[in-house]
Amino acid sequence: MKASFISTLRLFKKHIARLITIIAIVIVSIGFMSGVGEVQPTIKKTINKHYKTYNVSDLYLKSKKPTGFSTEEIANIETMFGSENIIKTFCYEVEDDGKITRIYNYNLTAQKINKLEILEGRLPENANEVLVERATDLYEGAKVGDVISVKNPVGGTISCTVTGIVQNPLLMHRAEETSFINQDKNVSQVIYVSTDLPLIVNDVYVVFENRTLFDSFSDRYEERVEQAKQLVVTKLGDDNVSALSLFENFGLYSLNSYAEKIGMISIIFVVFFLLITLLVVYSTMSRLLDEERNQIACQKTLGYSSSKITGKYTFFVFVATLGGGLLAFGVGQLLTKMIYGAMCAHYDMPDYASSLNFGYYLFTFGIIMLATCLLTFATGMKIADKKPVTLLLPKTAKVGKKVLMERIPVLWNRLSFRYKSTFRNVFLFKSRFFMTVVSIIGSSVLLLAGMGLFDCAVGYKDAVSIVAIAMVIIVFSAALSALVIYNITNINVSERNREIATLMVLGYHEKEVTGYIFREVYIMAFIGALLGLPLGYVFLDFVFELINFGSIAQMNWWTWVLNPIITMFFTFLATLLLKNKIVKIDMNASLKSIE
Amino acid sequence: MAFLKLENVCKEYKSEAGAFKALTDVNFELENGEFVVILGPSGAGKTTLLNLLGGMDSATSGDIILDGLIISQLHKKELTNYRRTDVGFVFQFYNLMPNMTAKENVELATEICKDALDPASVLTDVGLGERLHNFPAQLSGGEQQRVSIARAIAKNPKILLCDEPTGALDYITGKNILRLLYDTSKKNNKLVIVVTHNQALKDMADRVISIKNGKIEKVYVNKKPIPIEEIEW
Ligand SMILES: Nc1ncnc2c1ncn2[C@@H]1O[C@H](COP(=O)(O)OP(=O)(O)OP(=O)(O)O)[C@@H](O)[C@H]1O
Ligand SMILES: [Mg+2]
Repeated sequence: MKASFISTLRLFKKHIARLITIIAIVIVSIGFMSGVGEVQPTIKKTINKHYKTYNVSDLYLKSKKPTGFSTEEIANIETMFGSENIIKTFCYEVEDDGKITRIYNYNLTAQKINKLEILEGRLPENANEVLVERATDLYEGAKVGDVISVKNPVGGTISCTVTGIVQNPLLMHRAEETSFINQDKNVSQVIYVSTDLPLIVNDVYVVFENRTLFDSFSDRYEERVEQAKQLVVTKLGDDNVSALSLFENFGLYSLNSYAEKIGMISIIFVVFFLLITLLVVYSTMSRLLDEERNQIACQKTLGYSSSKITGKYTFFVFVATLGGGLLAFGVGQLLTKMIYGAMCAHYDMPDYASSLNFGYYLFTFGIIMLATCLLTFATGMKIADKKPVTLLLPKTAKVGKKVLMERIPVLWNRLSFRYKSTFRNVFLFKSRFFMTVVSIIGSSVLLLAGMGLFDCAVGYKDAVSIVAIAMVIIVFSAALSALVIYNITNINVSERNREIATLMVLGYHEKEVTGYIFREVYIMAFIGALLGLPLGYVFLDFVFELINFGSIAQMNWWTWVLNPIITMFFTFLATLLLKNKIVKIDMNASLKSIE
Repeated sequence: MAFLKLENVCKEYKSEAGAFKALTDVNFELENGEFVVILGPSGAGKTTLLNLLGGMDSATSGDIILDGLIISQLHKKELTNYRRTDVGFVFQFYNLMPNMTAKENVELATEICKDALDPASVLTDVGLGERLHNFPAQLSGGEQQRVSIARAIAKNPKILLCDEPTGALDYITGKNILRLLYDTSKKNNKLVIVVTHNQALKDMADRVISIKNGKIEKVYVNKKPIPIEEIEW
């Protein structure tokens, strides 16, 4: 018991760098996946909450006649939807000094539909008191207590006192509201006047009986809306009424469609991140198991069972993924909040809902932990079940195999043998080469995709939300890429301990030794960075197509240059950080035994 | 002045477990072209001594002078240069690069020295002329050890240091390897130092150094060395 505890402790101590790297990779990966993944559900929830809290109207019926709806038309609407489900308003705009003011007249005290949120002050109590829409970049607003003059549509003005500042739930979007009396201008102030029964009714707002149907623009809701519109137009006549729905409400609907785009982007990236993470963690563990062959053989000869030996390594990856996963929770939460915050810059969104979603977090955490533990255990068992004699021999590439280049003597003979050895190391260990290059390709493709989305998103005025998500993808895939490369370099150094010591004994200088090890990493990183470009092209094309946003043509040409440069820069950084690890290798200790 | 001279050499290992004196006041002198055997029980300090001679570690105090060069005063980079040009090292476990052929393993050493010998001909001299392009995994233990000796010889160093070179080999192969090392010292006029547990080998040496508990027990010259083939153990 104690011995196995100590040997487990040794394993952690010996491979502490790898433990930390796996933890960091898992933090970045699960943090990204849960953070980005939860954005769409959170926004959808927010939209639903908004819809329910303010009892947002489903239809907005606008009379096309200057005199508004007739009594008969109103009665018609009431029979269609029920009198308790509509509000009748009179809405007009006036132009003064080139400024457009919109004025709503309806019973503000009842407030059953499209409830105004009172940000400041109180509701009006008489005809000379009004509410004013809050100040934004576009609306000039007012202060409680201000006296403003409100023009009548028929002429003449009345002085009114502002008793409250409000926010209209239909004005979610921080964009211009075009005036309907002058298409070239935007509304710059919105005033609400309380009237028990407006003399003219030109706007009618309708809510559907069934409030659960909406479910942030569900398909069934869309059907219901179409059906209702059809009904209104048939009953009242195309010339008399225009029926608008939330699908035409730019603020709410575009927020919803951005949420959906984000949802699609996140699913693609979540899948990609997940695959790369699994590959990286698994290849790290399988190389660690290869390095521990002697240890495993030793324990086998001492009579430990294969499952007991393998259990130790499975525990290692369990701890690493568990630690990373737990720490990722905060990262994910913060990330969702940040992206949400970035969208708030463009939409008047309710406060970040405390109704947290954990779906993506639990799902990705579960998969990563389960899959890496199972894979490590399976690989460990395969190794541990071998005969100790086999395990004591170093794992070498197939004896006498030649790399492709050796068959081209013109090239091969010109290489210094140091390069020959490098090429053999790079290309002869097929699965190692494959896993390394694929993980580098994967992370640089992700980075390229983030950069591509960013390029396209900055071109659009209203794509704040996609800019935010692109930036997040860039940051996280860059972090992943840096960690993946660091991890690979670190493993390479640790696997080559003995060779490094041999070179040192032969009198190789530090630079020559580090060069020998790092050349391989550079070659693999270079191959990965280059292959990342065509594959990134295909991937980006697919992403753009799927989310119906952006295109390869809109990307900056230098993104394609910068991307491989970033990968190579990370490689340079990793080698810089790991140089000391090589220099510090104790050649005497490393060469003492067979181990 | 002697070719190699050690004066009051001490080596102390400091670790968490405490300080340990592995060598105390080691003094001896050796001449060029000699075949020297270092004997002593396990833990006596033989490897420690060889590491100091080979510039793989630094003495705590005292002086080591090889052919006028004071090794014990060299800095890290100078020590690397010393190993590069003046020292040939043969290990018990060969330490060949697994992904390089026999010839490439030798080239790895010669490429960085000035007066190196031709790798292919040295390999032929050690009897591996037919195996130049084989990888270590394709060679037997004795053959691998011969590659590692060829690697040390081809550097054309001033001293050849061998730490239990026959430790992992059978009787006959071991004898062949020792013959090879002996011939190197005579034909190429090199100082060859071999560390061994095998008491019988003292008869083949020009000079024998025996160590015990980190101290030199005795150093003596063998007037009439016996050829290895005639020694039995
Ligand atoms: N790095 C080290 N740190 C602490 N003590 C050490 C270190 N290396 C060797 N020693 C100690 O120094 C003493 C001499 O070790 P050395 O390896 O020189 O012995 P040796 O004569 O070569 O033995 P063997 O014949 O078993 O190889 C031993 O007691 C050993 O425990
Ligand atoms: Mg020893």
